[in-house]
Amino acid sequence: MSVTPALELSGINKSFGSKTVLKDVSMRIGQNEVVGLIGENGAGKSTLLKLLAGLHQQDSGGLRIHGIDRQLRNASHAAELGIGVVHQEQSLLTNLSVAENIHLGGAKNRNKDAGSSLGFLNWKTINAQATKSLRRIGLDMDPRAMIADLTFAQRQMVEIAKAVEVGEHAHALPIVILDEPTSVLEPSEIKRLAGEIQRLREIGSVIFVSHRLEEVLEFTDRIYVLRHGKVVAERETKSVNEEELFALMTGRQSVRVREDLQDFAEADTVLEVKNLSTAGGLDEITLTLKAGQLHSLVGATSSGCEEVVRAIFGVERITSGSIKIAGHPVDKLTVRERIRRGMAYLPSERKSEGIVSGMSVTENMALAHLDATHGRGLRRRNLEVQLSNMWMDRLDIRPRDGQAAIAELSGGNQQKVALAKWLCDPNLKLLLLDRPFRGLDPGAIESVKEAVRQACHGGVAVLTIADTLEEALELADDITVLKDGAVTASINVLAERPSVVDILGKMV
Amino acid sequence: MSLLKENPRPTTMGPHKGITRTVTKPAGQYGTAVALVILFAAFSVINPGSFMTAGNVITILNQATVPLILVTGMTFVVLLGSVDLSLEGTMAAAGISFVLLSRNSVNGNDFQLAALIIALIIGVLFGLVTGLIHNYLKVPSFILTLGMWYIGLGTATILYGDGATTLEPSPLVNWFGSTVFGLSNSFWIAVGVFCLALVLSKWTKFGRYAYAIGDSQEIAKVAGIKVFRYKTLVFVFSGACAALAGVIGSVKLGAGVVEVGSGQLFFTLTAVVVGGTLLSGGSGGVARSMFAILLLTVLNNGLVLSGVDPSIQQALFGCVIVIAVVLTALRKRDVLRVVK
Amino acid sequence: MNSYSPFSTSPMSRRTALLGIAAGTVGLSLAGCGAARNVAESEQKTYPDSELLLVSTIHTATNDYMQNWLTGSRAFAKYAGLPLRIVNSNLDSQQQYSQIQSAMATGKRVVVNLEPLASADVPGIARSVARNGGYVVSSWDKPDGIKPEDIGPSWVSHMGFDGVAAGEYTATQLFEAMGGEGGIIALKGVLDSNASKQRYAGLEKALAAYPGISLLGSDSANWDRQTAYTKTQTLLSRFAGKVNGIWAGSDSMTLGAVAAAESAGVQVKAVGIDGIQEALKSVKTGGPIVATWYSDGFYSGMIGLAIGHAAATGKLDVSTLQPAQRDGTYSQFGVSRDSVDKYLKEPDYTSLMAELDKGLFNRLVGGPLPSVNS
Repeated sequence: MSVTPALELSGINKSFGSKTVLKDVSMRIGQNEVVGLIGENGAGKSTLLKLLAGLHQQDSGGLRIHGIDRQLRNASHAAELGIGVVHQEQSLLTNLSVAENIHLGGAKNRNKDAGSSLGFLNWKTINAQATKSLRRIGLDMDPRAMIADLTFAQRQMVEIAKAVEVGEHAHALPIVILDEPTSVLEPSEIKRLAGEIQRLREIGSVIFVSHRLEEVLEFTDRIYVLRHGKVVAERETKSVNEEELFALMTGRQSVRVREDLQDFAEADTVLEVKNLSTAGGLDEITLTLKAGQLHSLVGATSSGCEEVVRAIFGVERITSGSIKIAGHPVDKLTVRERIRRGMAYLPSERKSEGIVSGMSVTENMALAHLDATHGRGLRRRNLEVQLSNMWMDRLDIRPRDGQAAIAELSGGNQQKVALAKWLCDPNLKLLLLDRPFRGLDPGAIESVKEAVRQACHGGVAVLTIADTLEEALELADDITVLKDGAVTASINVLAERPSVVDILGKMV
Repeated sequence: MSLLKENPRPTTMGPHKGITRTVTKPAGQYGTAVALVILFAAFSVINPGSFMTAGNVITILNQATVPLILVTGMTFVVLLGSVDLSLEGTMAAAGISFVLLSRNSVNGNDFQLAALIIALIIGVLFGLVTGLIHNYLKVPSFILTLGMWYIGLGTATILYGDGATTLEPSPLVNWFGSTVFGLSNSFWIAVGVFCLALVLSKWTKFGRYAYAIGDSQEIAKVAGIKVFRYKTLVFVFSGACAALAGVIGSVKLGAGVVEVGSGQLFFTLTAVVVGGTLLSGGSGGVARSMFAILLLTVLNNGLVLSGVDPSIQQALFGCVIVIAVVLTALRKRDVLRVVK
Repeated sequence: MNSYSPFSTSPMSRRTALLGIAAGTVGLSLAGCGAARNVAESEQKTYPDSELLLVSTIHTATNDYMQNWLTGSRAFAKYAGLPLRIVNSNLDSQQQYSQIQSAMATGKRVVVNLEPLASADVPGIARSVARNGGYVVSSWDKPDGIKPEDIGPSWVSHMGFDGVAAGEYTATQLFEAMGGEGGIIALKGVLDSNASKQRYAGLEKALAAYPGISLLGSDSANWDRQTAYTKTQTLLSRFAGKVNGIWAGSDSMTLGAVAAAESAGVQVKAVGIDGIQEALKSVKTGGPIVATWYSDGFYSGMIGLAIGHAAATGKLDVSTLQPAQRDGTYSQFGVSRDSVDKYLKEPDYTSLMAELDKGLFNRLVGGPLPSVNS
């Protein structure tokens, strides 16, 4: 094993204005090593990554790549030196081909190689090079395919190939940074990625950034924990577990096991779905929800979970079957009317459907419940503010600034605002949540889970679509498993105590 | 384990998933060409003996010359997600300059090729100024090129002076008008420009980066594309096309007049939209715009040829446009938004 | 709606005209209800030269007629020793209106030589000028059913021109040059304009007198040279081999048409209206254009100011004017090869002054023409 680390950070400091984002950060990434980086949102992870990618420069502190001191001037420079980043948001150009995107990643030093001369592109060479890059990470994809036609997982593979590509031409072992690569992947796709990471380890080093602690534990050799801009811990992966990591990251204990399962036989029925079929492919879905219950829908993509929720909410066309909320049939009602009956929906695409970007936090919260904050048709600002302050406290929304433009909050905090919007309503009977914890850091997940649990204790019935099976098992009283638009299993957790394997079996 | 899922996330597909795949994706790509064929057939039937004659086809192609040159420039600009409203002004300024420098009725100049080159340089300069101001002062292209349009017209007006300068026959001017295979050299130049544009689109960084920047300027920048440089180059190309079109237009009219480009902006933009290049950028291409130009030219020609009352011609023209745009717009929701 | 010109009027000017009417009518009818009564009854106020500002309106700078008009206006300004403000509407009625208003805002009394963009613009401008104690003379177009007398002495006079005579003259010249036999195509101006309608009516009159000539087809080219070029290309294609002559409602369109004919290698005779330099040169050299009609922008630009100035200074008592002098038709001149020399040379200051000396209403030939809007 080579002694020179692939990457070494020593005493990195970075501030934006008066805000210190990174303080005295030191890290070491060895050759052929997979190092995990975890931390809550706001801990400084993204700034650190941007720094490594060359998009920011540190205020002080040193950076060594393969033993040589470097100052990363810009993204191209970082790429030249072998650092490739696979971002959380897609950074591929969708109307270009796979090969072009990979070629573009190479930046300056590439053009001296064949591929382009005098501004003209040599497709044969570009495609051949792309195929080579893809093969290196074990992919057999047509380099001429348009990104727009690829699935998210496929695009991610291309991004990895792109990131690896840069190292190739730096004539150095690549350092690939994977930023939250699994947050939108299916279990099968995650397995594939795991294979990729192994391959990457053989040809270079990997920095694996993720909120999914179980994955970090599975894929990495060592883990760095970042909190409030400082490295608070470094551990060998095999000598640490999830609880410890969570505690290091947040300073809190995580609630893992569901102790408080109850019997809801006596409670009122809030939601009754009978033999629901839709134009979109749902087939005879039946489920029941009682007040205070949390019901989780699980299924692979296109299994129909989302359609069920949308049908209940009122934006999917029903071909047969019935939906009743608190005993009232709602099939014919508009969305607005259903909301009046106490229903609320938090979609997964929160940016497009859950929040109004142009408005402030307070305004967003007040939106769904104009009655509560309007007196005689006019906005009552102090009511709005009271409401939003209360919810900001309950959900630990950061920053605690009702006037902040919602677009500036982190994803997790936006999610909390969207949730608060609905939880504000005293009339709330049924809460529909579509993957509510997706993309949130563990600390945020805990706050939201707490809020949801409290809502249940207050008598709200909650129907969620679960992102992971663990989440379903942790929260739900009942689990309905969907596959290809039909129910394959209806499980009462209290009675049946299912395991992950049991449920997985019904999903595929 | 194969990754065969159809749904790429995080993009959301609109409600018309089914229609998109079977009707409008192919409609977008070939729709204009098909519409062209249908229109051509329709007019032939309405006017047997006068529409589909060699003479009229030549007329149509000659009428498409100036618009074709303009649309190749404009397509690249629109691919970026921007727009260039200045083309009529550039045409006028370059056209009158060309006339004043060639053999004419007013002064003793007789620069042949040099006049053409200077006119093209004027177009390049207009494009350069537009590109630089757009990039460094961050002025949106819509309002900026609107201003450049008036500057162009103003320049042309000053050059116009007291009266129209007539072009006298001279080797270069005659060359523009002489024919090869029955079609004027101007037309062949337009064909050449179009072919050049095709090559640029597919085989050069200039073209590919135009698409890339139109798709997402931020991502392109992060990927290392020198966005400012390529955007400026696109505007320069557009300016040069407008200048060339202005020269050819002036040669056709036989004089240097400020109105040489009148109506061309509307015609060109309509063709770009009808052809299926999205105003939001990143999608479309010169081939589609070319078919659209032919479609619109055939439409204009056919309407006059069929003796349609002039007061109805405009309305009919408009109807065809709306139908074409609706077909194109089924593909994506925010087609007609000009973004950058 | 305006007449003659070799500028392109787009649907936009029509639309702005409509907006102008709407705004003007609402605003002015509210204000004008009261004011109109006063104005119609008011005395003709007179002012010393020192209080006067001459205003002359044009629509675009790149148009022969307009430039001639400006030359005439400048000549008068020089003669009277008064400042001259040029209002260029740039084909926008609102622009024209607001620029005239800003001229009035200078505190001086304006003498406006108004060439309206659209006939509907006239009453609004006239009332506005009247309220400010100014004077206006309009030409070419005004709305049917309204006369200067309706507004008062401020609207001194309206100068109309006989478009029918123009169209008839040029058409006749064309048919003669064609030997009385053959096919022609015709290009109208902006369909909506009185001038275009009058001229085309003149063409039709001439056609009736020449049975050997057939009108193959007609279209509109909106006074625009470029549009005329394209339309002619298609018309020549449509009537291939049959076109011997081209009649157009303006020189600008004629020039575009003959360029198209030349490109197509078709020999034609052509006529236009306006008498711009290029057309005159073509007539002189025996070129495709055989005749045109001289609108004499120089004269109109000058005399309108002269009449207005005379009223403003009291030299002319508006109440003593004949009806035709307040609303009449003025002569223009047919130009053929024989007479072209007279018009080729642009008049200079001296010759313009000579024309002025002949009297303010020297070229008045009669009362207003019957409306072409049936």
